[in-house]
Amino acid sequence: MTRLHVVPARLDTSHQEAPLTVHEDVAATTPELLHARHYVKLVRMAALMIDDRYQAEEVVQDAFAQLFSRWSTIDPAKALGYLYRSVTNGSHSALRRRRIVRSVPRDVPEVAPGADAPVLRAAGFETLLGAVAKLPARQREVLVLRYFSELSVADTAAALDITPAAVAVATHHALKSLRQSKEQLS
Amino acid sequence: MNDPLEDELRAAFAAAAGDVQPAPHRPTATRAVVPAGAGGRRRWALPLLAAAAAAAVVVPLAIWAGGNAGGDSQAARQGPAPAGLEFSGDTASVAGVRFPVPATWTAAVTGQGEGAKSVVVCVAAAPGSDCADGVSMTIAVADAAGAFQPVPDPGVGGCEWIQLLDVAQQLGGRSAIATSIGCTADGPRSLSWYMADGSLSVVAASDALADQADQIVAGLDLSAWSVKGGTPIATVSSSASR
Repeated sequence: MTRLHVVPARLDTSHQEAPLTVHEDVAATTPELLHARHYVKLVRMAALMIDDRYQAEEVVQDAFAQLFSRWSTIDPAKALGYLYRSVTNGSHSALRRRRIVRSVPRDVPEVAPGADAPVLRAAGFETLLGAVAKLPARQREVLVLRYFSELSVADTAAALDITPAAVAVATHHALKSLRQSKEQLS
Repeated sequence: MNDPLEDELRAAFAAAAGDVQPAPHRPTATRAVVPAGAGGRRRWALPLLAAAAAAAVVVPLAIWAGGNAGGDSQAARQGPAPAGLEFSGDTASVAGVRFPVPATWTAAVTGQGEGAKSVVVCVAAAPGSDCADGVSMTIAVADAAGAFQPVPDPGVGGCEWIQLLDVAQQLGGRSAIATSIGCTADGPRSLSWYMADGSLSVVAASDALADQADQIVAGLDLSAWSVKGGTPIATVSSSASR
């Protein structure tokens, strides 16, 4: 079966999945609309950052809770950027809390990986995802924002509240580490 | 040219994220969500869960009752659907394919292919057999051996033009093609997605329904689907002007 009459000269991407730029240009943006369009993606993004879907859901719910409560003070055109920043901050805090718990010795029980960890290790990508999991949090966040959320360098920088140069550096170091991991394993 | 590692990362993230299907939460009941304080953070969660549980019971019953009341509905004429439609909060599933149901919308099985080899679902505010105001999905049903018959490509046959949107679309983590199609001379425009192996199609009746269609497509969960993939049959082979 083939598809004919394709019109590449009139490519129109306006109806693809919701745009992933953090400056969504939607005059009629409402928090409900943002929730409907971006909740699932943000949970998935957070889950990739912190490797725990339930904690990821909490992070995203908190971000939306803040968005709803502060909606009157937020520029709708920047609301999606606000959400990305909230979720990345929340994810970062969750990872930091987890590190603190793990650094406490002995009588505090070890925090086991999320029950979904095996699921997150999607078939065929265990090695790569395992290497990503070992990266410093900032590098991992940059990779998720750049290669999962497909944010530009500038938007990634805005979401993480760092400079574009820092994003470029973090990306470079992360990719270098991943290449080295792959070489060592091969 | 992209770095192969970057492409691999995209694929790995997409595959891993595809398994993450968050439970539905829709904090629209109140704007007065308390942002801080452990006790107040998710005070809407319990009422929402209760409402979702009630909806999970009431909505299927209402649809079942409505289907029976119709008497001569298409589904009734064709006998029981090959797989029942099940609701869980803001999602529904049929034949193992789980999808989000947009706010204020519902879903109904509106038909099935010959020999029960596919099932047609309409997701809309008021699902009808033609699904003229909603998003319809045609889902292949695998036989005992896991084989399936491709469902019709919404972009083939009777359509005047097709506008390619994305040849690398993902439906539930699987390869698909997204198009905008016009099946009559003066519209309406429609949006369609077609799984590369022909196992599933999604059609929004008009591009005014793009948001809802995007939501459904983005939230597709195929992990419980008996169709595990097949040989790609949908290819973009030529170009022509509209």
